Amino acid sequence: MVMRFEERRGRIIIHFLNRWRFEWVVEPRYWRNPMIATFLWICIPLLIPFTPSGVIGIGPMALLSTLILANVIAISALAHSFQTIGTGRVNFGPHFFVVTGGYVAALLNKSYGVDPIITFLSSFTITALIGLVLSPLTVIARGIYFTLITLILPSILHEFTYWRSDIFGAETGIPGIARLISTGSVIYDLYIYFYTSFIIVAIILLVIDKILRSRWGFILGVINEDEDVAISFGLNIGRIKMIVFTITSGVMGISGWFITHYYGSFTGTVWLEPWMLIFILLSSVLGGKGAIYGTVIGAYFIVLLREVLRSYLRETALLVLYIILLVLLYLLPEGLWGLYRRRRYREYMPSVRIRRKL
Amino acid sequence: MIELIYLTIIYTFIFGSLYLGIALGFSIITGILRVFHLAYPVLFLIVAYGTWLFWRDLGLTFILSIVLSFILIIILTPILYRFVISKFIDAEDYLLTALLLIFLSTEETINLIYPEWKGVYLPTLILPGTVNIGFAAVSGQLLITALISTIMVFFYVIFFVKTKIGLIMRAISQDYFASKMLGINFDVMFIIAMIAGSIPPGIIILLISPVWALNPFIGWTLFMFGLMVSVLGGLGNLKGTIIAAYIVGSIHAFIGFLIDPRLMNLASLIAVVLILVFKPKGLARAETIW
Repeated sequence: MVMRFEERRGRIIIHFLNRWRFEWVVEPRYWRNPMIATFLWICIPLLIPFTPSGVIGIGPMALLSTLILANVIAISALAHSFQTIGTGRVNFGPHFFVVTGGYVAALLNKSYGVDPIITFLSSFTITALIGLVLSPLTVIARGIYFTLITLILPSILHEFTYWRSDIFGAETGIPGIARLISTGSVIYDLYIYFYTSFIIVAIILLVIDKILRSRWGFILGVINEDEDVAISFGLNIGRIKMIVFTITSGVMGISGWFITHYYGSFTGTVWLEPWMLIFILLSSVLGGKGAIYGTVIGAYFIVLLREVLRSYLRETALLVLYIILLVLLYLLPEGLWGLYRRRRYREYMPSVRIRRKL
Repeated sequence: MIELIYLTIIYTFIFGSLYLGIALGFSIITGILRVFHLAYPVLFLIVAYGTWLFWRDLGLTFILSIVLSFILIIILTPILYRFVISKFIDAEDYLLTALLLIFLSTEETINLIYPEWKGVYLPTLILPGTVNIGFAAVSGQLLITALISTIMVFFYVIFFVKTKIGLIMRAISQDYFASKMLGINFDVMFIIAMIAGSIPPGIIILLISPVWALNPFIGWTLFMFGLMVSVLGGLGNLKGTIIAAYIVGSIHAFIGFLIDPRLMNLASLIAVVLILVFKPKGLARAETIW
């Protein structure tokens, strides 16, 4: 039998070919809210063309572009959050991997005419390989040393792009890259880019959620909480941390790939600036420590807030944004996700922290 | 060739001393508080632009403006400690993010009030022109900066070795909990350490401003030099910081004069990361500040 249904303890279990199985909890409280959120996430952008531009001060096109940027930040922030959980280290150079992925896609497409699908695989692979080379740092460098070393990485790439400006274009960037898609209609293009980035975010979100709810999630949580305890349970924490760091680095590279083929040009030096670091960091911190759904909310919140402020305040927008974010750090100790969690049962999720001991 | 090697040696001293001065405060704060002070670049900006504010905008005398800008730092430091560092001391990801936000908002504020085109310039030139040392013609102001930086480090070492407060700070940096058991007032000591660490970047920015054009984004550039040196030196160890400063200085001088000046920063950054891979805790293990 290809498919077989089974009812057990309030769950419907669907068996495929007697090898794979999918569980569905019957009780609505387990899936109602995620379903509503996903529905809204998919449908609200469809209403944007019908929204008067004066509502939040942003026109429909700019609003769609903002949502696309939010997805780009969410891709990096999700990978960053998962990396922090799985390695017990906070990476202060996520934009290094984003820009590396971007440059790989840009150079392959511009110089060799490689198709965006191949550049996707190349960006992921090469960024993951660089992550693999750097991954021993998660074992060697403890606590804040790891943070500091990773903070230096974007500066190295920044200097490198200026040194070989003939290849990387430094501040001018690399123009003339093939766009992912072009229908001739700006609004259709924006929708396609939005839903493409949405699908990437959703896939990453589902994979991370699946991992965190599995036995592996528990293992990563133990590593994050106390490495010595993890070792005493016989876990090869070095290998696990290196795998997590490598794969998440590759995922960060995907956001660079998307930026490149979305804008049709890539200026790495812009994305290497501290604002990109603060956007990625705050998406996970302000979204909710260790809460991956909160990370997406955090990314949307920060990027939208910046655009709204920019439309009303112009030059002072960035300053006001930083001040608001600083105040929110005080007001929301558990992040934006904490507001939602207050009303709900607190299920176990690994916390994110840096060990202070030097 | 001999001339080039001679130049390299002279500039190793100049660059090394300059970076030592930049990193000194950061090393002190990291060594005693065990906190990675990401808002450190703000100190350069407050002294430079604070002096300009008091001097040009408020019409005070130049010397008084310098004094007031340092007083401003002394006032702001306990506020930063009380409302940011003390508040988030046990949640370091929050702490680092908050400090980074404070830096970015200060930088943005200064950029709004004094954008680069306003041409902020501080007349702190002590030795104009160049000074000939053997084959080498060296910028007089850079030489003075290097000498003052070295003297400053010497006085700080004396402070930590010879004074009672220095002894307490070394005790805190060596063992936080043991020193707590002896009844040390941590909050006061941490604030003193932060103020002590805030003075050197102010002095350095005043000295280099005539030769290194001031702009609102200079803080992060200088901080990266300080960061490299402090991390390489073993975070919060002054002996390590001194060694690391001259290593970074020698890399810059060697690459700058003998290979390609555009590679100076890249080479030193790569060298620091490579050294840290083999010595992950830096050149000197951070058990105590001295």
